[in-house]
Amino acid sequence: MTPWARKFALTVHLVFSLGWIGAVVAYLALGLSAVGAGDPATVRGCWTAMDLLGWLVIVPMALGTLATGLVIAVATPWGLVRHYWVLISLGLTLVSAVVLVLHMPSVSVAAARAQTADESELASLGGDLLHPGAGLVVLLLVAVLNVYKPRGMTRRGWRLRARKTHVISPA
Amino acid sequence: MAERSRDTGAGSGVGDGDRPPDGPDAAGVPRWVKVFGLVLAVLVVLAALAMLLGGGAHGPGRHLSLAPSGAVSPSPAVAAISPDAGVRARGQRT
Repeated sequence: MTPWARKFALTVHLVFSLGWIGAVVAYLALGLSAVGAGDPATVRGCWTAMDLLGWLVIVPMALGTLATGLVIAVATPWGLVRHYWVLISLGLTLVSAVVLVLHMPSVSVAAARAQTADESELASLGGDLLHPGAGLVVLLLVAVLNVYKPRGMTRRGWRLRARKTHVISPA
Repeated sequence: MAERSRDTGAGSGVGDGDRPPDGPDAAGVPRWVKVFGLVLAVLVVLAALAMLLGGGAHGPGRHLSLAPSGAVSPSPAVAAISPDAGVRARGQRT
């Protein structure tokens, strides 16, 4: 991959990944509003917005982050499984995306339920703060790993490096 | 100096820029990976315990009991914007 293409791929990846983080923060704001609002119309509006934001923004951002991250890892010297920070970032991102996609149907259910629920049922819906809250922590951890890139090569990375430089790899 | 250290990553303990550092990495699993793995294992165990003690049902269908008839339908907002059947199927169960 040429330097220009690498920078372009990185730019797209940053847009998706930071967009994912921003959208989750917005989702949490809506969830907190749903919990704190006393007005049923506001609560219903928040759940509708959460459902829309989730499916139309967060899920595409998550899938875009995963896809562009794979492209960058494979097409650059970092590789996909050579360095621990890449491997762990990939694992955390994959788990986050899978949990997100599996969780969203329950958000749709709750949002639909909110349209017809009375005040006591609305209160029981809560604000769906646990999953996005935990997800945000994971995404921030991945962001830290991606910026600091702590050193450490996997066994496969060592073998590939040894093959490349004709140096005996450590046991 | 900054350029050189960025190219080699020497002494920084971190990789920089577009490519891995050229200097040799220490053999074996780095300490930060071991600590991370330990913390992750503890969190997974805690989450599993929470799910087990919380009734065990943890999945997209756990809110189904909120629906009046047990049937699931997507929110009107999403259905209105995306009339595609695939979108409706997200909130539906047979």
